[in-house]
Amino acid sequence: MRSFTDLSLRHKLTLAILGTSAAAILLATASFVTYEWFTVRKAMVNDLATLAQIVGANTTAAVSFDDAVTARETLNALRAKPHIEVACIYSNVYGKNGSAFAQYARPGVTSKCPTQAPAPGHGFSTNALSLTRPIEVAQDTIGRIYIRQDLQGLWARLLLHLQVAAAVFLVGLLLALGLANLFQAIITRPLLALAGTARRVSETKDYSLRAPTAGQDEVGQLIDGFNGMLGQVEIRDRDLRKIHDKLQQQVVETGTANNDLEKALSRLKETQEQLVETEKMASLGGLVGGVAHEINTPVGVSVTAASTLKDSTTQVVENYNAGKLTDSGLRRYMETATQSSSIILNNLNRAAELIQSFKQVAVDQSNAERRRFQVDEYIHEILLSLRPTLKKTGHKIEVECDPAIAIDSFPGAFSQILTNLIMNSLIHAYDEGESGTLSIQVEQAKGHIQLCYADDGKGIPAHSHKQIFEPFFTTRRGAGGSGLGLHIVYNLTTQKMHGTINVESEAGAGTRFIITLPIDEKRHA
Amino acid sequence: MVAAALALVVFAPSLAAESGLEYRVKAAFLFNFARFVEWPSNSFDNAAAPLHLCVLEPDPFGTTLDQTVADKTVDKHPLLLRRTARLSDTQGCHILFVSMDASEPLPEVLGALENRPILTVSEGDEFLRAGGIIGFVLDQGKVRFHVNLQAADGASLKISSKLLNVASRVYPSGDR
Repeated sequence: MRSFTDLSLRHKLTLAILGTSAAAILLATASFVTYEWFTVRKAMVNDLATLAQIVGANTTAAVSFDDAVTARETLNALRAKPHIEVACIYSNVYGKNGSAFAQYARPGVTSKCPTQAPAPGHGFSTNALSLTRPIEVAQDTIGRIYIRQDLQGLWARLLLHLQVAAAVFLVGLLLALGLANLFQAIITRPLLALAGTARRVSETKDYSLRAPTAGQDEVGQLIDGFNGMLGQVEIRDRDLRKIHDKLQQQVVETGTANNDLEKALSRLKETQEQLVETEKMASLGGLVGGVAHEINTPVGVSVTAASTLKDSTTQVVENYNAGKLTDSGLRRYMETATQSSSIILNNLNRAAELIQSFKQVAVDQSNAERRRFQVDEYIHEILLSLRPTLKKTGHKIEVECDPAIAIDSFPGAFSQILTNLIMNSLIHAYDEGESGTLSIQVEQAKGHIQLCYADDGKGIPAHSHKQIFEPFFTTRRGAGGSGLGLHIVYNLTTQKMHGTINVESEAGAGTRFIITLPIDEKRHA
Repeated sequence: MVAAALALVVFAPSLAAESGLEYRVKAAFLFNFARFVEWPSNSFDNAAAPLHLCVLEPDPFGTTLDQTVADKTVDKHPLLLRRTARLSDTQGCHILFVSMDASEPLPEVLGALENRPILTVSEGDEFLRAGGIIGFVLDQGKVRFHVNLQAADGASLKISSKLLNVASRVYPSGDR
């Protein structure tokens, strides 16, 4: 069953009007019937009281003279009143203390009078109205009269009233139904039109539609309001569409700009990579320069010794051919030859050693191979390759490392990190002609090593700590700084060797880099 | 009050064999007659003048009548009981009960009272034929009465139709 809320407005209105009318008619007819009921009852009581009064007065003599026969005859006159069921006279005189004196009963009535006189008054039962009155002569009460009347007349009247009420109710409802149909059409037609327009608008999204206007009542105002709203929606829809178009255009433009930016960024990255490569090559070049310089000395000494040996040998050969070779001359030559060949051997050994070291570092630098290496030994090899650079500055280098510490990682990256850190100190930490102490401390912990590299130079101001690892950040541009040194350190530490790097520094208190590297790089790959 | 007074009389009148009871009922009737009879207005000095109930002796009621009449009024007229042996003393009486054993013969008594507004009451039909107005009779042991309307008319008394309804027999008035 549908609830009242779901009924159509038409039916709601009809129901409301019918309900109201029914309630009003019911109330009116109910009050009418109730009023009639009480009025009729009151009239019945009055009529019966009058009758009792008359009959009672007519029996005064009969009671006074104790004449029951006459009293009965008087009562028998009530035959003319068919609704009277019974009537009784009760006497108080001649020793009859309120006992029945004379009585009348309508033929067919079985229930007789009460044996003793009831108290004066009246009462309704379902089927009868009973009334008792005193019989008085002068001021003396000599008896009572009791009359009972059936209520057929009352019930018949009530029935008639109910029938009339029902007829009025039905006719009223029919009338209300007709009027309701008439009124609801007046109210619902514009509403239905409005609902139809609203549905069409929501279906077609066509905000230029308008509901047909209807009068100036509430419904009319609703329709006007709806139309006004539609107007605003239409304007807003148009504005929205404009903004939407503009936005789309902007999106396209932004996309283009984004593309350009991405291209620029990738070019920048390429450039950066090229620069990093260049830097690597430059450091390799420096290495080669260092190697050349380092080897120059022993090779030069060897050349000098060799030329001395050659000069002495030439002199000895000429003296021998001329037969002027003396015993002491030969002895001197042999001394010189022994000394020279010893010098040459020592220096060439030295050169071979150097080359061996350089070769390892250079191979590692240009190679990206991973291998296991002794950290202490490798640090010394790196320092050896840097010796020509360091020698010019007069800085002292202190290394503190357990020779047993070994890691399985990328030695090329390791050497480049250390080289760059040292070069960074040389370039930035000290003024021209100043010499300080660089320290390298390595400690082993569980699964990793910690490398502390420190100088006692100018330090880095705190506000630059975040920037030093960014590419192209340098305080010495145009004075030899490329701005890539520490960036490369950062990249190699974190990406190549899967370690971490932190800087601790204050202006004027030196700089300290703390690098943590896994002992076995593979496990962290 | 009257009811209470009459209640004292007690017992059914049908037991008339008992002479005392019979006269108690008759005494009550005498009083009640006053209520259903209208005297000419000049028979009372004023509205509150006493109504005289007279008994021509010998009195058969004993004290019964005194008890019945005591403190009674009829239409504001207080009832006064008067006993007399002489006819000449009936002046001012409204009701006169003539004893059957009265010394004066009936025709004389009634002749003396003729045309005077006195309700004459006695016993038996004989009394009415002689010109009396109401006569007590015994009907199956019950006290009843007959009324002579002609005599009442002669005495200028109006007798209520209700009283006539109750009377066992009514002798009609001659000219009406």
